[in-house]
Amino acid sequence: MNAAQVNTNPAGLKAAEPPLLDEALSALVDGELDAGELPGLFLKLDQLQPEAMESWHAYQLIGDVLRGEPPLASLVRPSDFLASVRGRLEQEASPLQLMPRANPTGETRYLAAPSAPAANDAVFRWKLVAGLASLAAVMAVSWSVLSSTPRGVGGDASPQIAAVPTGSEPALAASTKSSDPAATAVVVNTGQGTLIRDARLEQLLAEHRQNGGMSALQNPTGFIRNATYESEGR
Amino acid sequence: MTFALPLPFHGDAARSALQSRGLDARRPVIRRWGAAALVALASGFMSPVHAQNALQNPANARSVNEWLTRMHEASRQRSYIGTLVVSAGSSMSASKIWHVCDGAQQMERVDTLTGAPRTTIRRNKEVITFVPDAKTAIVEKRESLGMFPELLRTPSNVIPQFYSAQEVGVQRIAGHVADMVEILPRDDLRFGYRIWSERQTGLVVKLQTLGERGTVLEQVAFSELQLDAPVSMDKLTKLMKDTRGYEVHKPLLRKTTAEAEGWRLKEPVPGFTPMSCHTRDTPGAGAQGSSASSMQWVFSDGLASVSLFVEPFDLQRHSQESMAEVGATHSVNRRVGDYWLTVIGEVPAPTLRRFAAALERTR
Repeated sequence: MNAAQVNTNPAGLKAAEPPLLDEALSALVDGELDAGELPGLFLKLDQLQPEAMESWHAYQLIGDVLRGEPPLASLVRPSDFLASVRGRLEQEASPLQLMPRANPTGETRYLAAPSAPAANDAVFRWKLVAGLASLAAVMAVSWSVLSSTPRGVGGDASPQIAAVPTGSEPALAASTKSSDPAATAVVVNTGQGTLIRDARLEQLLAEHRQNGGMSALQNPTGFIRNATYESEGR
Repeated sequence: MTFALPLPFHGDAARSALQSRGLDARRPVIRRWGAAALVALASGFMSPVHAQNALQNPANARSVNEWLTRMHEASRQRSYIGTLVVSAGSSMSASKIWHVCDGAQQMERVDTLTGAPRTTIRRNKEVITFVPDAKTAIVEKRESLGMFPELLRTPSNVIPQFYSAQEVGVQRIAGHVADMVEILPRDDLRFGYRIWSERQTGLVVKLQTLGERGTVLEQVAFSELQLDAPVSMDKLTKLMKDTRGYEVHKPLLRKTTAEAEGWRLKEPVPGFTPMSCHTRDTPGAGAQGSSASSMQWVFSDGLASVSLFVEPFDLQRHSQESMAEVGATHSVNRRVGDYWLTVIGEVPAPTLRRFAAALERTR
């Protein structure tokens, strides 16, 4: 095909460049452009922006029509589309508009405008949903805060109500009650009645595991079992 | 042996048949060889069954001591990497284990995967525990790690007197086939154990502590285990020595005897022999914030150990005689004169109460 002889710009208003540009663009659309030619093409595009956009739009349209697809590129030119979008953006009230406020001294100070009302404010249903969601969040947070017991000496030793036990000290179903800060006793409900565990007991338990594991099973199982347990009471 | 076909007879018959008849009688010869082959194959299948019978036969069964020694030796000769899960009741803790042994030295590293992160590295009896959250490292020398299996070989070993071993089956744990052994107590002063010992090496891959009526109080099991894994002893040694950024604590333990401290047991609890006794300074344990020393007296019957903690009585803290239970470990509190006694052990609570009742002051 004698591509060189096709002249898409019969008016010839510009120099010989546009036809070559159009060829290059068409090759780009077809995926036949050499990688080495890309920088040169983009340089030209920078210079001849609007015409290039027109040609690009035209080629895309041609391609779609040839393929028999409904043109994805609408008949509105992209440059027009972009301009209209920009216009709409400017018209929309932005949340934080900087308004100059005249000051007696002549200085202008900028204040943040009050935020625009939310888009779905008008619909009461969504207000309700938002309210319920925030209420649920507050409840969840306060539940976890209330259920965590005061920490005793030696760290995280006490069992918790709803939360899974820390995993290091297995605790039976617990209800917590702190008698006085020094003792930090924890009342544990078991099948046999209430037991009391305190931080000192946790410490002694750890000491028993370290020094008291005198058993034939200590090596290897006993030692690694104790090492897995040891997380507090030091 | 239940099958009676003698193998040599067939071999001879076949050979003589070959010699006398030559190639003409190949088919009957082959049939004979085929029969011989079948018999050999059958005998191959029979021998494992025979061995199985031998294991269940009490005369050939391994005794408690043999099982325990085997389990201990397994860890002395093999290196492995695994993930261990400890579960008691509804709670579970897991840790990653590296173990390496070069005959003389044994090194182990335990990284907790649940709860507060903690790394424990051990070389023989020396143990260092790194606590990243508090940036502290605690260095100790644990006597309990060197006692067995030497104790198993001495005549003072009372384990067979109080426990009996019985093989109950074979199961696959963490990808390894293991023999299930039940070591059950002969009285109700202690707990029983169900141990899964890996078939080839004898390594303990799962251990359950059984309460009365066979309920599982606590379970320690490998969820994955890689035997003969490449664990570098040098790397572990380096890790052990690297305490940069950590505050090193060396708790002071003074080795002593109960008599020296002025305590004795009125009547000993059957099976439990005193193992060791030491005192340690507990800061702030006494009144007015002065550091008082608390004593720990350890008893053991070979498989279970009981610690008696004695500290000066403090009205503020020692309010109530109580009992607690954590997995298989029970504890009992009692006031003895001017002292507060806490008995902790992996034994039933009545046994602990016997200890508590038997302790008395000599001076």
